[in-house]
This record gives sequence, structure tokens and C-alpha cells, in this order.
Amino acid sequence: MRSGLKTLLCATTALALAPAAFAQGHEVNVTSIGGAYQRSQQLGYGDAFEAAGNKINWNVYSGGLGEIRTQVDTGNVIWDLVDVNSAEANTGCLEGIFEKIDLEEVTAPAPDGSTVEDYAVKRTNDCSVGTVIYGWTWAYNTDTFPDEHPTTVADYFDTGKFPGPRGIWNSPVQAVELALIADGVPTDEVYTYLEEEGEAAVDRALDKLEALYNDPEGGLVFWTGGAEPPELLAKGEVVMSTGWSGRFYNAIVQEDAPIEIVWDGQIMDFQNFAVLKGTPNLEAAKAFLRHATAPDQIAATARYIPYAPWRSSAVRMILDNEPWSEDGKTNVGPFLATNPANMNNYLEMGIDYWQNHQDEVTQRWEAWKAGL
Amino acid sequence: MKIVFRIWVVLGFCFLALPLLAIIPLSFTSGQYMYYTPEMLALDPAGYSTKWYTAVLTSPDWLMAVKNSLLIGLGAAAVATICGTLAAIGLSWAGTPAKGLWTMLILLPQIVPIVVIAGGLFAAFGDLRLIGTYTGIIIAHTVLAAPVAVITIRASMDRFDWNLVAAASTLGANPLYTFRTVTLPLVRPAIIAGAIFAFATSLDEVVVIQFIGAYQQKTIPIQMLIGLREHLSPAILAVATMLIGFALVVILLGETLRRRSLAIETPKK
Amino acid sequence: MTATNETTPGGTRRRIRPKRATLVGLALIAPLALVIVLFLILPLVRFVSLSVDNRETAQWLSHTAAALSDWHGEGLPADDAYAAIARDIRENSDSTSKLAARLNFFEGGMISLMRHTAAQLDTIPPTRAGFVAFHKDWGDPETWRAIYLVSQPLLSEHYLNALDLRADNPTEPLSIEKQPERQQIFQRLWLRTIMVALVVITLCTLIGYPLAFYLSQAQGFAFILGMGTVLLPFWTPLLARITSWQVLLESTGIIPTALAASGLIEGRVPQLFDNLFATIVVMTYVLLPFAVLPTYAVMNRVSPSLYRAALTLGASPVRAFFQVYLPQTLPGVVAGCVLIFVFSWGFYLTPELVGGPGGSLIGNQIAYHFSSSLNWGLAAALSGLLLFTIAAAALVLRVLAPRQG
Repeated sequence: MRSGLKTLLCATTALALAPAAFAQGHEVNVTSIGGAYQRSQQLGYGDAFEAAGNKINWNVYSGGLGEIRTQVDTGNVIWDLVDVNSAEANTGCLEGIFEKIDLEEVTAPAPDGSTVEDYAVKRTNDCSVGTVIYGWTWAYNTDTFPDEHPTTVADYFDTGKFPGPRGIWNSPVQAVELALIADGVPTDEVYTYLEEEGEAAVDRALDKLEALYNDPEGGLVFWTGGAEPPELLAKGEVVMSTGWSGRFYNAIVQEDAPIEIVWDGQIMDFQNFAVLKGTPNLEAAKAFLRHATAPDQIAATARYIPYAPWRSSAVRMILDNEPWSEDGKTNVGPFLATNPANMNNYLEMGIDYWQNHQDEVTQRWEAWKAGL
Repeated sequence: MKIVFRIWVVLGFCFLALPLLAIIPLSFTSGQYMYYTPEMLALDPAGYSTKWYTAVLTSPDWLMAVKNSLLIGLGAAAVATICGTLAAIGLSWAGTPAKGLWTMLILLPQIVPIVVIAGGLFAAFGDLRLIGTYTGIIIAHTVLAAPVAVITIRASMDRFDWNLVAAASTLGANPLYTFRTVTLPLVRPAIIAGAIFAFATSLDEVVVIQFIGAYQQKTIPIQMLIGLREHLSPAILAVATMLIGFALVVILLGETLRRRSLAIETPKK
Repeated sequence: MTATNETTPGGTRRRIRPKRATLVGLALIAPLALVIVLFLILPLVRFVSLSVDNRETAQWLSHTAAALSDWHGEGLPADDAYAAIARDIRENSDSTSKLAARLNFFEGGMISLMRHTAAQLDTIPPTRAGFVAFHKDWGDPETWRAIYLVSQPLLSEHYLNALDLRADNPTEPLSIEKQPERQQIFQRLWLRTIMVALVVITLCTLIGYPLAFYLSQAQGFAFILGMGTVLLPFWTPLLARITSWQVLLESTGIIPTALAASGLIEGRVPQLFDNLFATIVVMTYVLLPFAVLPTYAVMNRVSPSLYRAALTLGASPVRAFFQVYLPQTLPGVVAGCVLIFVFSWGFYLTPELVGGPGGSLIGNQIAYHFSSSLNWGLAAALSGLLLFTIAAAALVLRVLAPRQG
């Protein structure tokens, strides 16, 4: 009797709610990493998705799987989709905190009709859906160093030649790699060295960074949000800073900031969307993914930030229609991480290394930082 | 000696006031960054504009934050004030046993570090499925704001002359009627002051929401936090200036009411 | 002491029966007390208990725990322990990554070791030799130290870790030794937190006492202006205050720019933001009203007549101040100091936003381990120690503070 009532109640409620749900389209909570990057997502494909009768709640986080694990573990999933790098995507997929997604199902066909084959880069797990490729780069203030300016990773650590504080991301990713390259590890051997030497390699990198932190001519400023590096540079808080290539580009092109990107030691990385396991809005999330990764939609994001889509048809669309930038006069091609001119001394992000060691190295990093 | 004291006192007041005063003109910058431009220092009108206020007041993000702050603040202040008024009466009620213990209990939310409270609430609200809900945040803020309400109302209750209640009940009035017609009018200013302070406490709270809130519940301080980390722009200064104005209102209203409630001489017999 | 006998200030006796009066009083307090017990005390108890409660993890290692029961914490365990952990990993494959993360809290490298082992489990012979041949870390006693700890339902190791200590032999919780030097951070942070608290207390008292004295003497407009200046930052939301200080202190901010322009400092202006200095300045700013207001309240009640009498009797103003006025107003100062200690002890947001790594405190580690590393056990142990210290401080307050009306 009681269960009968319950069923009846559920059925009426469902009937009452169903038309409303259809009329309002999908509602989806998308969490990304903020700033100009998130703006490119909103303007590139978010607004079009909303114009079609859907609703996106954009949320900002500062990376890492901590919050995602907690949401899934405690059964309080409040984000549906999250923007993650490939190492995080792999780890999360392995841990089962992301839904497995059939790529075919969420891939809109390219102009030539191809779908999954259109991806120039293959995804490294069964959960995430690739979006754009960007560079972990660093930059300097051209007002501070107008003539002789830093050109190599070693210069980032050379306070004798280039005095002044440096900005660095509040995470071991990129910092450890740069420190080892500057300390003499050949660029293409960085990850094998880290894998073989383990904690000793990390300690070597941290020692190098600590020397820079304690150098009266140097100093480190830790940044957390991607908008900070160009801001720190433009204001002169630091003379050089690591940062994501597109964020520097935005400051240079839109705000005419005195900043120059250095591509030496670039770490090329691959960004993804992943769906949180157990989300109540799985269908909405899939609809969003299919929309956001459609070639014309993902290509549109590059108007606002020069990141190369994973899908080759989208890259072709950009390069064939230059100037692609929103200002109508800037070519975005030279700013893409995948531009051969930017790949003279570069690393592909060590997805395997970071997937296996991110938590351990981050713990070391936090302990090191707390002791500074 | 006297001179040294005077200078010291003036410096002390400057330390308290100047940081807040320093950002008010800066919030009217026409520039992009949070520092005084040469035009501003030269008092050139071109260096000043209200554009950051316009930016804030037309931004959906900020308007949503204001809406949430109001909703959560009013909700928490209402519950905290109702429970707090009863508790304050109870604490000044002669018959209540173990008042010291109850006072300790009620003040606890103010004493336990907020980050520990946030951790505890997160762990507990996870089980109760209250993460990312308005209910969860309003409950949390009720707990945090209640001590403020109790302290404010209690200070007034302690001056309250219970003989009036005794007199009313001797005359045959029931307790509820007595409360409504005798007690309430006398402590009303204190209750309103308590409610204002409780609201201000909720509006100021950011750590707990950071832990247990979701995007849908982001409040003004959360939006400021995002601003400080993400889009560093003078819009934050405009918000900060408005919040200083809010503090001024809290002081004028709340402190005036509190002072008035303490000044009331309850008529003797 | 019953209600009937208590005399009110008006002088009449109350005519309410004691038992009923008690019930009425309790009923009035009950709603708020219930809310606080349900949504503060119970969550706190549950949270802090996570510092020792390891039952969830232990159940994933039930066979291993049994196989390790006769291991004495030295060298490597026998083959049956290797077979047992292989079985536990197989039977709890859904939880392997969480188990690995928790093992990693006690021994770096366990995440990758467990991940590789779980992936290849079917190819590894379930013996010591087989495991060690698969990965050299299976031949490291430290690996088994971590496994033993995590297989126990009750854990004291988080408290030891929170003090930079560890159990030398996991099977004997009292065999305490220091953490390896690279992992020692908490003693430093506890010291820094205490040091910051003491410095902030001193600064607040030095600045706050004269202000309170001024307020107790001031009248009319001067009083309103002075009191307003104390209350304005008090009621201005914290993030607005922090924003102000960022604008003042960061290297392109008002103060460094002014210092550079004034020529007072040669060369580069020292960094004032994102360091310990900024933490101390902003905390002093935030907590100053808590020094002024209680002291002011006490000064307001203290009659100046004793002080005047001392002056009349020939004491110098300085001597009269130190021997008469200061002791009279000391309770207010002490109350302020204890309040500031209790508050500063748990500061998190201010150091997070203005302190940089050099200015971060214990509160920041709690937040980090709670929301990023997910080492809730350690976060709970740090919280437990924090609460213990605050309880001790509150006790001091009860002993030292004057009985208040």
C-alpha cells in the first residue's frame, strides 16, 4: 500500500515536471579554470548552447582532483563537467571518479563527415573528451629587459643577468621540469630522469627553486589563477613568470601589456572535459560535450584564446580563415603551442609521469613550501 | 609624555581607518589595475570614473552574489534571532540551571576556528546530503551568527526588570501575552540590533561556504575571493567600498539600537 | 540556590515554583542548544574522531591485518602477508586507488607501487620473492610499515605526524622517533603560529590599550569618531579589509610606491606582501578591535578616583599609572589577549590571501589537507590539537578573568 502510494506520487511528480524540463532544455554545471580561458569557452560555445534553450552554470576552480574526489566519494556531485588536463583525466578515469564516455556518441561530424578520426591527438583514457592544446610557457616584462632579454630556461634562474622576483605556479607541474632543465638535465630526458631517480630528482628540482626563492636578487611569487601571471608582469610585481601561453597572449594583444612569451622549454599539454561519476545530469553533460567539441564551436574558442583544438578540421578552419582573433587583425597561428616555430626546445607534458606521481610530488611540494 | 600618548593614539586611529579610506578613491579609477595612476594623483578628472561600479551593478555574477547573500543572510539571521532571543531570555531567566555551561555552548561557534568548523560541517553535511544546498549554508550560518545575536540581546535582557513580568502575571496575563506586550517592546531594539549583527556575520562568512557551498550559492565574499584570485580588477574595490558603506550602516543602525536598548530605564514598580 | 529565593534588583521575590522555572528556562534555551549540538558539536566530534578512526581503510586490508598479526615491525613479513595483500587488493579492487592514496600519506611512492601492483596482480606470484621481483619497493620494510599502520582500525600516527614524529616500529605505537628531515614541517608551523599569535597580541595591546584609554576619557563628537573608527573595520567584511591591505602592501601598492618615491629606501623596496610580515600586519589589523573593546569596557567601569588619590598622595603620574590604574584595568587587557590568542590560533583566510608560503599557519595546513590532499586524518589531528590548545586558553580565561555580572 505504502509503496503503491509512493509510486503514484512519483509518477504524478514526474508528469508534472516533465514538460517543464523539456521546455527549459538542459541545465549543466560546468567547472573550468577561470579567466580568459573560461571566457573563451563561454563565448566560443557556451553562449551558443544557452541560446539554444539550455542553461550553463559556470563554476571556477584552481585545478586538482581533490574537490572532485570528495564530491564523488561523499555522493554530493555538484559539478557535472570539469575541465581537466590529461594527467588528471587519466588518474580520475582510473580511480572511477569520472564517467566513461563513448567518444563516438558525443562527437559531432566534421565537414568531411569524419568523427573520432578527426581527432589529431588520441585520448589516453575512456572517460575524457579532448578539447584544446596549449603551452606551459613563461614570459618576461619587456620594459624591465628591453635590450638583453631572457631567451632560455637557464635565464629564468639566472638572477645575475636578470635580477628580480619570478612568478611560478603554485604546483610542482612545470616548476619541477623547468628547474631540472635549468640544472642541466636534457629537455627530452626530464621525465625519464624523474621516473628513474624518484624523490631524489624532485628534491634536486626543489633545491634549485629554493635557491631562487632565497636569492636576494631573485625571489618567487606563487600564483594560483591563470590570470595572475600577466597581471603580475604588467604591474612589475615580477620580472618573469611561468604561465599558460594564451593568458599572456590576451594581455599582449588586448591590453597591450609589455610582455613577451618565451617558448624555450615549452611544455605542451592537452586539455579535456570529464564528466563526474554519478552526476544526475549525465544526458545534459553529453549534449554539452557534443555541442562544445563540434569543429566550428571548438574553433571559435581560438578567437578568444589561441589554443589549438584537438580536432584537425577545427585547426584547418582557424588557419584557413586568418586573422582569426576576435580583434579581426591578429593571426592566432603564431601563438599556437603546436606551431613548429614554438617547438624548438619543447616537452610534451609527461602525462604518465604526472598521472602516477602527481599526488606524491604535490605532497612533497606542499611540505617544501610550508617550510620556506 | 602627553604628547607621546597623543601621537600614539592618532597613529593608532590612522592604522584602523586609513587602509579602508585608501581604497575608496581607488575604486573610482578609470584604469585597469588596482593602483593609483599618475592621472589620479594629479587629480585629473580623466583618471576617475564610476565604470567599475557600473560593471559590478550590471554584472550577472555580482547580482547573483548579492541575491544569494541576501537570501542566506536573511534566512540565517531570522533563525538565529528567533532562537537567539529565546536563548537570551533563558540565560537571564533566574530559574535556568547551569547558565555558565549554556553560555559556553552558545559561544562555542565563535571560539572554534572557522576552518575546523568548515571541516566538521563538510564531513557531516556529506552524510546528510546538504552539500551545495541553501539549507545547508543557512543552517551553518545560523550556528555562526547565533552567538552574536545572543550576546547583543542578552546584554539588554540583563537590564530587564523581571518584576514587570511578575506584575503582569499577578494581574492574570498569560506568559505569551506578557511576552508580547511587556517584554518584547522593551527588548525590541536589542533584538533588531541582534538581527542586524547576525546578518552582518553571515554576509562576512566565506570559509564555510567555500567548503560546503556550490556555484549556485556563491555570495558576495565568494565572488570577491574569485575576483582576488582570478580577474583582478578594480571592480573588487568598488565592491569593497560598498561593503565599507554597509559596515557604516550596520554601526549606525545596530550600535544606535544597542545603545538605546541598554539606556532604557525599566520603570520600577 | 532556587528561583524562589533569588531577589531581583527591584527587591521583590519571584513567585514561580522552582521546578517549573527550571523547565521554562531550559525550554527557552533548548532550540538554540539543539541547533548547536546537532550542527556544531556532533560534526566536530565526528570530524576530530577521524584522526584516530581508521576503520574504513582497515576493512580493505582485513586479510593483511590478520597475516601481519605476528609480524614484529622489523624486516619483511612472511609469504602469507604477501598472499594476503594480493587477496585484499583483488577483493577490494574498487577501493585500490583510495587505499593507495592513504598508504601514500605514510610512505611516498605507494600510489604508483599499488597502481602497478593492482594492474599486474594476476602475473605476480603471491610470495615475498614474487613481489620483490616485481618491484623492489615490496622488499622495503617501510612499505610494510605503511601497510601495517593503515590495516589497523585505530591510528595514533596522524597525531605523531602532526608533530613531525612517527612510530619507529609500527607495531609499538610508543616507539616514537622524528620524521625524516625533509618531511619536518609542522613543528616549524606550530612555532610560527604561536610566534605570530604572541606578536599580534603584543602589537594589539600596545596599540589598543592607549586607544581604549582615550575612548574612556573622550566625550561627545571625539568619542563617536573614535568609537566609529574602531567599529568600522570591525564590521567591514574581512575580504574588503584584506583587499585594502593588498592594495597597500603589494609591491606596486601604495606603501612600497610611496617608500620608493620618498627616497627613504635605497635600492629595491623590500617585499611587504605575500610573506610573514603581511600576515602579522593584517592579523593585527583584524584583531585590534578585540583588544580595544574589552579594555575599554573595563576602563569604563573603573573609577578614576583611586588613581587621583594616588596622585594626591604624591605618586608620580607614571608610578600611579603602573601601580594603580594598570592593575585595575588589567582584567580587560587579559580578556582581550585571550580572545586574540584564541582567534589568531585558528586563522586561515588572512594568511592564505596575504601571507604567501612564508606567512602561512597551521590553519592553512588543515585546509590544504582537508580539501586538496584529502588526508582527513591528518587534518583532523591538527584540528584536534588546535582545539585542545584553545580549550586550555579558555580555561586560563576562566581562571584569570574577573567574575562578570
